[in-house]
Amino acid sequence: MRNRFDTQLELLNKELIEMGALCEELIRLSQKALLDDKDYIETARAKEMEVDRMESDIESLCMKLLLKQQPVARDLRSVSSALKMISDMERIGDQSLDIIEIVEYVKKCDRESKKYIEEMSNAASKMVSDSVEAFVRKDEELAKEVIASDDKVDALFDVMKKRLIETISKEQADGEMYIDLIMIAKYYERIGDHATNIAEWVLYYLTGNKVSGNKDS
Amino acid sequence: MIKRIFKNTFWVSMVTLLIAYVIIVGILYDYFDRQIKTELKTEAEYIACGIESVGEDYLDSFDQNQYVNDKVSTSQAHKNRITWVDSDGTVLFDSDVDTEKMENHKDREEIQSALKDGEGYTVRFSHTLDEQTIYYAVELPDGSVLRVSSAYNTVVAIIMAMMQPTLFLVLLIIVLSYFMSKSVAKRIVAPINNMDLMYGEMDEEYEELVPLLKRIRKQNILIDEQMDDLKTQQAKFQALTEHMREGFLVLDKKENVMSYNKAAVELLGASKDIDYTGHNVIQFDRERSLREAVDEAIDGVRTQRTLENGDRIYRIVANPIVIQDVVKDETVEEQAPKADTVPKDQVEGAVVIILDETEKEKREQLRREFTSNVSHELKTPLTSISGVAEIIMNGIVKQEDIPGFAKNIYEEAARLIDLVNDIIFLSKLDEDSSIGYQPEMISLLDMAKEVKTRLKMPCQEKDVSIHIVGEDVQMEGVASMVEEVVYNLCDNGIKYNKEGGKVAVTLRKVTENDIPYAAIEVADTGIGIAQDDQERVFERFYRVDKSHSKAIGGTGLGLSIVKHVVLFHHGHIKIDSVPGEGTTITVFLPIHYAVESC
Repeated sequence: MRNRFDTQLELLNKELIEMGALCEELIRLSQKALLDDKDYIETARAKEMEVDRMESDIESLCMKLLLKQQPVARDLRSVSSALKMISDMERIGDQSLDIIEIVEYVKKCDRESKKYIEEMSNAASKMVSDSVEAFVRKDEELAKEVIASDDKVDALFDVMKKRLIETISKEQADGEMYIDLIMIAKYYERIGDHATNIAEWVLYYLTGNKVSGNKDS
Repeated sequence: MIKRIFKNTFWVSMVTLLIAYVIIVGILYDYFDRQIKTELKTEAEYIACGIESVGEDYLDSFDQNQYVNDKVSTSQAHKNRITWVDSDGTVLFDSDVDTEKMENHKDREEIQSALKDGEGYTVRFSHTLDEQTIYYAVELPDGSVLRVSSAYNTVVAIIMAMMQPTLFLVLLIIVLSYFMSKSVAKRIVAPINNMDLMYGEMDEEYEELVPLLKRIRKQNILIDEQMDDLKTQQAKFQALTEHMREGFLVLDKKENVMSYNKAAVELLGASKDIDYTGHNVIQFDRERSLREAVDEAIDGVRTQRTLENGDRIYRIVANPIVIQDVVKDETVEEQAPKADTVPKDQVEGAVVIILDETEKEKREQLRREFTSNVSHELKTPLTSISGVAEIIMNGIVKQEDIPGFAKNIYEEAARLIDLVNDIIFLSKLDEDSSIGYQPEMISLLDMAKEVKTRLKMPCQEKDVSIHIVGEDVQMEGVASMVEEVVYNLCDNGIKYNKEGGKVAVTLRKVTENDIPYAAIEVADTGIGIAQDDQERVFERFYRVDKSHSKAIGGTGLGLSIVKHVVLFHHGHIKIDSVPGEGTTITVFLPIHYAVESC
């Protein structure tokens, strides 16, 4: 019985990593979509569907574990944190897809804005990678690093916002493009938040303490 | 073992004790039995004599417990019962019981046998006295029978009497045998414990154990050798995998990592602090292409994948591990290398090799660029030659224009020849370059002057002057190569110069890291090279001006040749340029020719 439970926990672990990897792929795809002109929407949609499917799979696995095995202590934490993590991962997948869907409208923006967006995407992508990596390695330090680096993405978003406000007020620019730009920036900022959440759940799983940090997600 | 020996010894003592006890009791019983019988007989005879001489009244003295036998009473606590029975069975006298109440005794066994044989013994239960009794009857001369009997519970009494000392003895033996068997057991076991199972002399205390010992030693030595073998093999494997530059992963059927090397950790960016053995491969790296390759390998398909990790490109080769039965081996082995797939149920795991192909990929890309450049460069002059030739062939050209067209053809052909020469020169350098070149002493000043003379024509065309300054540096090197360097540098200096510009060639000696170098500095006042392009101008066919314009001419190989020659001589190049103002390229060549090639 115990053995079966352990195998199932291991399966849960594996599936979580797989889902995390999928999210990484999606966000990397969004970065690629920013840089070159190819159309990634279809690929991204397929991947996003897979993320959704995995979410429900993992959810039912977690439920089965909770109901049938009634885990306690660390095992319980691993299941409950998994349940929370998958919803964050699912959001990351969604938002990456959202970015890819509107990215073609911002291709013509000025170099400076593009540079900021790229920087944001890199930072957010690194956060996602690191949070998944922290989970894989069960690395407390890395998880804390991720939580700390959220400020960087937030700061970048603020800079971006100010810049866009200035640009719009100064010149008669293409309003739609700038709104899309700010949307993309916001998406990345949100992805950063979700990555932070994942890192917090990793910490919770490892230490048993819920880090009360990120207020808004 | 000690316990067992102890237990056995102990039981043996106990059983011996019990048997001895039973035998002794048996012997004693027999002895007392006889004793009682003799006693009864003696007494009966004695009483018979008494009756004969004294008559019936003699018996009365025994009645009512008055009978005291001097001889017996002292040794026996109870007195014997005496009965006198008439020949017809009527009881005439009984010492213990009232005669009146007693029945006829004729049917009693002892009396029967006394009447018949003169005497008789019986041991039976007396109904009269309600106890086990031994009887002795004797026939008197008058035909009556005198019977003497005694209670027969004596055996139990003996045992009971012996009980106390026996119990004491048992206790004593228990204690004694406890200590003795313990020490005996220890003494038996001690040599066994002290046995040397590996080496040492064979004159063991226990002969019986020698064959066993021999076998154990043999096996121990065998195991030792096998362990050593295994260790060496493991060390070999370790050394092999650890020093491989390729990443190496061994996975089991469930895609768990069984073994991996340092390179795999480094290439895939896994953590050095974690032992991944026994974990799923997804923890090692969660890149999709690796996972897919592993999945396919586990399904029995040999696969290759490309994995992009940041700006590095890796090739992943995943092969299924098939463990074949020895019997099957012969038949399968013939097809094994060919088959790209193996049945899934035979797969025991997978081997993954990760190759860093970034450099290869980059070189491949350069080669592709080079090929396309070469074909382009070759095609352009050929197209114009064939075009012009076609016009002339068709007779469209007037007679007087023919020399002009011929000049065109000539120039393009010359360009082609230049190009081909340069390519040949470069490819010679690309090959094993040290062969066929003899270093000699070169006077750089003379060489520069000669180059200046050779470049007089282009100089005049562009109104550019060449100034040679500096000392006459003597260096060791391959003259034809170094001349190419100076020529190409000066040629570029003229070509990319402005009208009326200058090219300054400065020669001097410098010492860097204790190695004396000849420095050839060529500075022009030309158009300069932008920062981004400075790195790339040494690439083959790379031109800052992408139009491959014919106006400037040249093959696009000049600086590439310079770079190769400098590398050949183990020198280095410095480039310094401000767009619009001019370019200074300094070439450092070691004064002493280094033998080994680059």
